[in-house]
Amino acid sequence: MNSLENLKDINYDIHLSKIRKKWDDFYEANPDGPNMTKQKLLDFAKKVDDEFGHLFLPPIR
Amino acid sequence: MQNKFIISPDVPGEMGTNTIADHRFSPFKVYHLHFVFDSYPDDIFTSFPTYVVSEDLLTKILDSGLTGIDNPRLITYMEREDYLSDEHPTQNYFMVDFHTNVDDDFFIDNILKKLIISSRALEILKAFRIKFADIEDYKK
Repeated sequence: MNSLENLKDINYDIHLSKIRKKWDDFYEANPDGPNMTKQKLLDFAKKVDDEFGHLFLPPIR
Repeated sequence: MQNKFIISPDVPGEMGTNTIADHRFSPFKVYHLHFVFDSYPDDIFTSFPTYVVSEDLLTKILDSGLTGIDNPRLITYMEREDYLSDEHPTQNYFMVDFHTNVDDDFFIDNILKKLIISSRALEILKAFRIKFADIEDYKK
C-alpha cells in the first residue's frame, strides 16, 4: 500500500501531488455507499503502487 | 463563445479528524473542513468532495465579478507531523461551492466531474499560485 511513510521521501512536485489526485479521482468516481468495497480500495491501491511504486523509498516495484 | 478550461487543482493533503461530514448523503457533505497539509498549498486546491481557495484568491474573484463561486466557509487547518515544505501556510482558506451553470466563469461539468473555468478566470488564477493544478482545454 502507498502509505504516507513510503511517500514522504518522494518528489512532491511530481509524484505525491499526482498520487493524491489519482485518489481524489477515484473517490469522485466511487462515492461512498454500498458499492464501495475493501477489494475496490485494495485494487486501486495496487494500481497506484504499480504506477508509482518504483519512485517510493524504498522502491516497492 | 470564449475558451474554457478543465482545471484539476492540487490535492495538498487530506481531511483531518476535526472535519464534520455527513455520510447520509452521497457524496458526503462537509459542514466543516479541517485540512491537514502535506505541503504548502496552491491558492486553489481540492479534496473530494470539497474545493478550497485562499482568502486572497477569493477576494480577487469576488472583486473581479467572476461568477459561479458561492458559499465561502472558513476552514481550519494544520500541517502534518512530517510536513514537506519549507513554506508554511498562514492565510485564511475558504471551502467554496461551484454550481453547474455553463455560463458561469466557474462551473462543475457533471459528466466529466471536473471544475471548468473561463479564460477570464484562468487569467486571474495565473496571477496566483497554481503550481500543481493541471489545466487542459475544455471541448464541449
